[in-house]
Amino acid sequence: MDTRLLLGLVLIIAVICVVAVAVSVVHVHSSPPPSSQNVTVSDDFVAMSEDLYHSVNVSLTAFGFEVQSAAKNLSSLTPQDNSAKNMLHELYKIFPESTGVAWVDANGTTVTYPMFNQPMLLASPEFKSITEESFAENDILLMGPVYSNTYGMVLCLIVPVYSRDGTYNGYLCVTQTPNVLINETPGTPFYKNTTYELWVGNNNGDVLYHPDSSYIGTNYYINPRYQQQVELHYGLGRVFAEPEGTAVYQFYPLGGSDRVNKTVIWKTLSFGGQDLRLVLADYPRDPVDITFPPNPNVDKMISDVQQMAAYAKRNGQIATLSAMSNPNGLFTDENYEIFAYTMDGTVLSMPSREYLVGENRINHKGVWGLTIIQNMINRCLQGGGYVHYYDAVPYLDYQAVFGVAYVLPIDENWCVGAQMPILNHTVTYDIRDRYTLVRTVQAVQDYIATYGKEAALAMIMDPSDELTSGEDHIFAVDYNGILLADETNPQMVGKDIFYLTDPHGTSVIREIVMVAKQGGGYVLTETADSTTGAYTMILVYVQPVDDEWCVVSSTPLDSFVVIEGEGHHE
Amino acid sequence: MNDTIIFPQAFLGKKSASSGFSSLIGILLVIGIVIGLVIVGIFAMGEIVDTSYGNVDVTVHLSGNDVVVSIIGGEDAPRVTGLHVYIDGAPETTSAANYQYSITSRQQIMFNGIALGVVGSRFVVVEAIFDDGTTTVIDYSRLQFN
Repeated sequence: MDTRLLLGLVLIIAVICVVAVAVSVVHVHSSPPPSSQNVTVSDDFVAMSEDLYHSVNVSLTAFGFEVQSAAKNLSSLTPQDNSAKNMLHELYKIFPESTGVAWVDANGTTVTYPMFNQPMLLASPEFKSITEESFAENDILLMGPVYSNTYGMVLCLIVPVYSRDGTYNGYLCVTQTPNVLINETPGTPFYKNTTYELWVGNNNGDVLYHPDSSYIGTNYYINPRYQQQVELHYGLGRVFAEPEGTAVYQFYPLGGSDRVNKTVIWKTLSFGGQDLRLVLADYPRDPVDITFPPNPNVDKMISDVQQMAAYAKRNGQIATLSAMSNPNGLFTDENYEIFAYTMDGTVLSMPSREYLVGENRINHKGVWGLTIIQNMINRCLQGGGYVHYYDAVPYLDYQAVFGVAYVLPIDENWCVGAQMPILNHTVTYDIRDRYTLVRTVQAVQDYIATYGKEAALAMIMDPSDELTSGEDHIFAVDYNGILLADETNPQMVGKDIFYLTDPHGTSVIREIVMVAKQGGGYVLTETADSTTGAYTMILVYVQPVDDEWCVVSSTPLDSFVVIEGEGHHE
Repeated sequence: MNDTIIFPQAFLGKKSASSGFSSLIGILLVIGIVIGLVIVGIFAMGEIVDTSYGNVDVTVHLSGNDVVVSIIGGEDAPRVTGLHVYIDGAPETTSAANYQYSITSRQQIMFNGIALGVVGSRFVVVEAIFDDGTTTVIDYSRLQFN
């Protein structure tokens, strides 16, 4: 072969090699991490994703249709008309799990149902900014999540109301808790009968629904929980950034502190001005391993929290948080979890779950909708004390860990505390207990709206009435602690009952009134049987009627006894 | 005579030449004073909101119509022989109790009925009586009564 030809061939091959290497280097540097690519998933996973999309689409469309129809019926009315109130009541009945309905007319006049928990929500800045222009691109708005004292994070479906002459006359709003929005089965994190975990975000990075309620309202782009080691869950970022796909990313399982690989599939449903990311997640889960304290001792926990509080008052917040984080420090005990919160629910310290530091957990809910952190803050506002709680067990349907926390305020800005399970097994809970309480209080509210306060109080005092003859206890109390009606305790009616406490000295009635003034909600308290020594937990639901009094319903939950010397309950 | 002519010129000239510099110093000085006052104010407010005195650590909580004080530590705790509790702005809200400190019992001192009729948000003041007869406010905190 000609030498020059051979040289030319070698040169060409060399050039090709150089180009190939260059291309491959460029490709390696520009290719996204493996998690940024779609992954192959099972047909069943794809089918359930489609099913989720259609299910939520049908649900939201029907929801929107009903609210729009109601808005049309308001066209010839004013908020002062009784028929407007009746229409809102009828709309509320269509959505019995709704947290409330409201019409705010163009002048800002408001009519709501129930009467006194919606105005607090409507006073938030998100609602103040709604005008006719807000509906320029969408005739239905999905707003939220926004925080309601009564229900935690809620989503609001908002439609404009027009007068008969076509002029804008405000908006009609129905609020729902996020789980209702997507037909989630209460008590389980899974979609329908699958083992696929379900959550919903939007294109702005907001989490609208998650089985762990403390995620709801967080934002992917700014929340420290997502931004730590972001490369490990790059695929999670794709969920918020891309309309549909599949991915694998690393993130925490429910209640866990070690990341696992999660395979997800998502689709986008555009509704109410939001691009909703409907996500199903599949990942291996270890068998539920709940650590019960080997030697639970409530008295020691309280003593240690008091020492923590004394240390905090002497040495300030920075030194205290540092001491709490020290695994060999003053406040370490394997039996309980210590924590510090700001008074708005942000975690300042939680050594056993460091990844939560900086998180706002005000929306963290136990079972029955109990807002545990809010309950702790309410207790701190009274100087501190016990807070019992039921925390749902991840991946075990209708199972909860029953525990007790002890909290003490350091000043008006933050508090310290500790918590631990006090039963050595999980308890089964029935979500229907909660619904029954709500319906009972709602029935009394309906009676008040129809017949007035005095007739309603008489009804509560009537032992033959269907409502009062049930298992649940109903009573009415004013904001100065005067018992207005209670068929079970007629001898106390007309008296100040603010002196009543639970066996641990907690001011039950004062706290119920406090929650009523915040817009209503759930309270967990207890009674003690002096003969058997048994304690019974009581779930309480309260709704304000107006700014002077409230209606309360309660039902007993679990009973247990304290084993002397061991300090724990069974 | 020259002085009276030269002085104003020099004065004016000097003022003109260095007016930016002195203004800057003045502004910085004012900003510094304001920041200092704000810091002092915040510190003072913090002291007013919740302050423990006399090296006695206490917790104060509401229990029905009672107010419960727990002494949880502090160098001067063994010297406490009695307590007064006041609820700010409420009638009939002062009460006194004798107290014997015990390092093991963490005794709770209950002031029965002093929150009767008290609503809203109120300051609760705890005053300690020491073994030498002196009294000192040892806690000043806000409680929510309903």
